[in-house]
Amino acid sequence: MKIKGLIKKAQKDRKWLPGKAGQEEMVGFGLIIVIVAIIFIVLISLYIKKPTEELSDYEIDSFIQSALQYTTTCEDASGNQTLQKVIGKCQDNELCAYRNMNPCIILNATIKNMIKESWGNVGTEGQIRGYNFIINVTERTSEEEIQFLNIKNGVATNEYRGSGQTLPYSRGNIYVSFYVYY
Amino acid sequence: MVKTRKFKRGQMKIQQMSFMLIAVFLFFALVGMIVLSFMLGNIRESATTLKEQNAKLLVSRMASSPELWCGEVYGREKTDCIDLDKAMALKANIREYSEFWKISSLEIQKIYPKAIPNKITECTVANYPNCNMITLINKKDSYDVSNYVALCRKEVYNNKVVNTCELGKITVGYEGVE
Repeated sequence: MKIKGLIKKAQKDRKWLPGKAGQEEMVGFGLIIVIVAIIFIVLISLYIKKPTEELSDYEIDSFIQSALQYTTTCEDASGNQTLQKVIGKCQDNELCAYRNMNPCIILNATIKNMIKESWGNVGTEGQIRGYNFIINVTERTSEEEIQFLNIKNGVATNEYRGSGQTLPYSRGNIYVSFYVYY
Repeated sequence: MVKTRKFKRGQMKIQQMSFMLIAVFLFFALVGMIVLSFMLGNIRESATTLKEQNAKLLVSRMASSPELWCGEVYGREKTDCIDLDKAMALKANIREYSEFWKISSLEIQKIYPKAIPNKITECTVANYPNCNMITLINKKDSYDVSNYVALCRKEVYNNKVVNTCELGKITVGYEGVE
């Protein structure tokens, strides 16, 4: 009786076994797929989020630096003055010795022409959509930053590059910044 | 009879397992291949980007190389300043420097004040400084990276030697990955 009962039970289990094993295999396979998918997603996200080394805006930095060294038409006893010296002269309301030229007019015209020749025309047909060249002056006595010159053209968009430099000046500091909008 | 049935079931199980293993192996292989092809596909692009970054670094440092840098000749030490007189001397001896920077091209162009008429005139010993382009290296077609520089030179004005600095661009060419 016992043996018969055991055989019956085994037969019953056997009926259930293939189904259960199939289900377990399906679950296992599903788990493997899920794990692999997670690994795949993690790998891709790591690959996409890989930090790219961005260089600082060397181009605008160099443009400001080079522009400040430009020899202008403002002539003094020591010869033609650089743009950096002309900024100081304009701030101090000094005239250029030669022909009593106004340094502020020279400064404005030189910067505008330089930007036009270097960055191209502004607007839809140009490479850039706008620019903003700002010179701020901080005097030692007041410590207050005053906007001394602001040359802008075109439109200011959210896509831009910019840089700035602080220069020493007889009565304080000059901060020159330049932004190019695309 | 029971033994035979059991043997068949065992065979079936082994078969199932082997199919499963093959399927899992194929699945992993497929996923691996997709990942590899995705990563390998970007290697060329990465190599070109790396070369471009190196060229950017090189172009931003080129003006500070002793072969071109102004130094203290034009007053205080200046950055982004190229001595045009040095550049002309370098042009005459460029053969010795052709492999020095490992670049495809090296050009210095005056951009402001604008040349009248507006055309590119290559600098030679005969026309210097009334020219606006110094081509130092020009090996082959390449990708270009440029940077702004001050181009300074000594000039005789009213019987005096004066410093003249203009605005220019230095362009470095590098080879992309083929």
